[in-house]
Amino acid sequence: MTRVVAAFWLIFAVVGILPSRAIAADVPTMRVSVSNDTVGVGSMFRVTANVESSDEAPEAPSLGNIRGFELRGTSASPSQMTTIINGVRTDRRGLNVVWTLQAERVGTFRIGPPVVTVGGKRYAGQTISVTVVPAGKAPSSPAPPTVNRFDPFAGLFPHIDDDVFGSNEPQFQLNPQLALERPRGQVVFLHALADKTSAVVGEQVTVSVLLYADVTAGQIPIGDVHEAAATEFIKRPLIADDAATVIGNTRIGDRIYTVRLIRKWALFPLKTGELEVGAMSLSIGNRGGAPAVRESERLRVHVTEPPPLGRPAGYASGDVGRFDLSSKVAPRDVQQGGVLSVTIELSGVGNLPGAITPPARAGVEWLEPQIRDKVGIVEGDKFGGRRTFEYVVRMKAAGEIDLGAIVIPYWSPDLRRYGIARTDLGRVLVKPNAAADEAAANDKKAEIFTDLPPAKASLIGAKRAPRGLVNTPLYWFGLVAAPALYLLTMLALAIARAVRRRRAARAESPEQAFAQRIRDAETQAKSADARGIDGATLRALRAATVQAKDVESAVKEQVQRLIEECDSARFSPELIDPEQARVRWRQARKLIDAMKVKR
Amino acid sequence: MSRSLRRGLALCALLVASVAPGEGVASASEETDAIFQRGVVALKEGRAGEAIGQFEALADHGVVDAAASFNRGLAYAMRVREHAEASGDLGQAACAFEEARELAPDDAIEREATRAVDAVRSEVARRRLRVGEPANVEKRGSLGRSVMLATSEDAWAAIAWSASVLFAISLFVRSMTNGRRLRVASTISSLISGLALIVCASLATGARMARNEARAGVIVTSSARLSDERGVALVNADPLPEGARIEVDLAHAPNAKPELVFVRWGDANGYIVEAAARLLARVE
Repeated sequence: MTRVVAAFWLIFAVVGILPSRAIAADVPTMRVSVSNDTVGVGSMFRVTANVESSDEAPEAPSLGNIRGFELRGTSASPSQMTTIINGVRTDRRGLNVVWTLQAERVGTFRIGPPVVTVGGKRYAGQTISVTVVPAGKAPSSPAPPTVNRFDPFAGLFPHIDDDVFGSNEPQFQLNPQLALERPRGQVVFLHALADKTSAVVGEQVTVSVLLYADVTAGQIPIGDVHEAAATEFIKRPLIADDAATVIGNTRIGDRIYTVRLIRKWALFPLKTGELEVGAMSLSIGNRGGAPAVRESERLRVHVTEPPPLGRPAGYASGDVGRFDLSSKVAPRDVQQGGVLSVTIELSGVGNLPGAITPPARAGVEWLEPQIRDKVGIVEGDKFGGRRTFEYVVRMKAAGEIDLGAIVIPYWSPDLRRYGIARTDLGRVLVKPNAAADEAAANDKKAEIFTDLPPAKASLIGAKRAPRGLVNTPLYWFGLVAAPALYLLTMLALAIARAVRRRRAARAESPEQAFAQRIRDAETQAKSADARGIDGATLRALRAATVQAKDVESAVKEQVQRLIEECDSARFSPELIDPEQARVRWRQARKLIDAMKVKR
Repeated sequence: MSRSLRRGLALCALLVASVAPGEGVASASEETDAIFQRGVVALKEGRAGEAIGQFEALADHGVVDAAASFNRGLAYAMRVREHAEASGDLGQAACAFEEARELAPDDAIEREATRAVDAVRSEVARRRLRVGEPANVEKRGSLGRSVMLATSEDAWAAIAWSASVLFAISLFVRSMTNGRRLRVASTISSLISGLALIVCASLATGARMARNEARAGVIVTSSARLSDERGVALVNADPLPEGARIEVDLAHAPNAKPELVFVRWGDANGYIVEAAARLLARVE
């Protein structure tokens, strides 16, 4: 019987348990969760699906129905777990998928079911229900995660860790004040801002550098950080460089960014002008590529001096803020040649002066002070603190000596006026001491500048700096006038000479003479003076003969004959006939044309 | 509004407009006088620090005056004498006395300022010698620069003018004459005067540029090391001593680091930190 019972239990175990193991091995498990089941319109939340399979790796996740929401991002992280118990190895493959959704309208919506593919088969999870209420009506989100102060970029992508450990997802609270017109880079970028764009020399300018990171981005390594250069400023950190604080989330374009304050400095301008705060840069890891560099803006600050009106005597450029002075002198009576201690405490807001000038008095020697600082943030973002100067003062002269006062004028940018920090050091009774008196006398012998001229009792004006002849047009005129005059004279003379020569040459040329003869003959031919016509014809022919070249012999003979005719007609009383003379002129003209005389 | 009332208001506005600027000028002048007198009293009572404050305030107000500069120098010198000197007091004293010398409207103050600046530089030299440094606080410039600055820019301009006229006359005579001797003489004269014209005009222009682009200044820190335009110290360059008179070339190398200025000290030149030098005030 016992054997029968045992056999029954064995059969039950084989039949009842083995199939269930086989089924468990075939069907993957999927857990679906949502970060918030009630969200406001415009708020972001996440749906997480955790799939485990003992067979093939889950893949190709899909969320399914998301009506009423907009998908803002998806991240999937596969996992694998191997266990060996009593020599039996078990492999489990997993897939963790996070969908980031944004609610679009009010209502209750079903999301999903999410679907994955395992070994070519598709498996669906459960649907989830999310209620969307008007913006701002949703239950408040948990506080942002705390940050490890030793890791400036820790918590940059908080949801990654949350997903791994299955914690509840916080809803994003958006801060519109952190929004920019457009993102300055993809996924991660830097943004620098100053609290003012104009300041006076020495006034605090607070500069912050913010790191914006897309909330849907995976974990991105950040390194190679280059600090912003501010060589024209004294730079005091207001937060530790290794501290970074999440200051909120904001929407830029269609993305949500987590904003972290990574640097904050108090900058004190050292000079006037347009001063520049350089860019801070860092590199972010780029999957499968070279790191991408992100750089903050370069900022410019217009720096001036405080107004001269009402400026107290002794104001040193850069003493800006609000200062107080206090002092302690001990002891109040000393032997001549002895020393006393003077402690001056300078406190306040701003870049405290690094040195003070003790009042000069005859017979009082101030030795180098010891300076102690306790500076940092004092009011909100204001830099300030306390600086203590400890002097040892040697009293060389006897009598009741007034140590004078320490005065530090400053400009208060808050009150827009000058102030004076002052502390009176009071009087000290110095008892005479013969030895010290002798030493003082010896010191007096070694004194310098004993024979300097006396001070001037009144203002006397100043000699004007010479303007300089070279700066005047008169100088340049005087420099070039004489040579230019010479050149002009020479030019004028040369021109006159050339004109004269040309005229003379033109008047004496054979061409001119010939042309003139022709013109004379034409004129004469119109008159009734036969001798005159013949004479003019004769002169024209002779001129033509002189001018003509390569004349045919027949023409030459005709010319010679006509010359003789004109000659004889001029001196023959019976041949005085103007008509005949004109005929000879016309013949002469034809011959001249035949000779082709150049005119 | 009645016509007479309008007239009355217009008259009042005119009176205010005509009186107000005069009062402003008068009060500004009274204020500077008062500051000066407070400085003089502090100086006479041995309160050097206060006197410095008052005379520096005058400078801040834009007052350019030989007496104010002179007294400022005395105040700094007094603080040194009283063993309460701050770093750079000797340089500040030298600067103030140099300024007084430049601004002095009469020879007496110029002589006093010269004597005072010599005394300050002697003290600087004495201190330098005590720590084994060269005693020279003044240095001569290069030959060309010395020649250029040997006389005033106006003198070079006048010589250049004369040379110009002589050059033109010589050329004219040379062109017009047929006589051999006169021709040779005018040729030589034109060559010499032409050369003189070029040299003197260049020197006048150079002196003008030096005056326009460079300003006189004095080193007001315990010493200043010459560097290149990136701020890297020059090897083998002597540090500029406190109280040394330098030329600050404001137009030189605009690409240098903004806190640096180009200076010349004798034949040495390079960049120093702007705050190490103080420019002498001048009336333009």
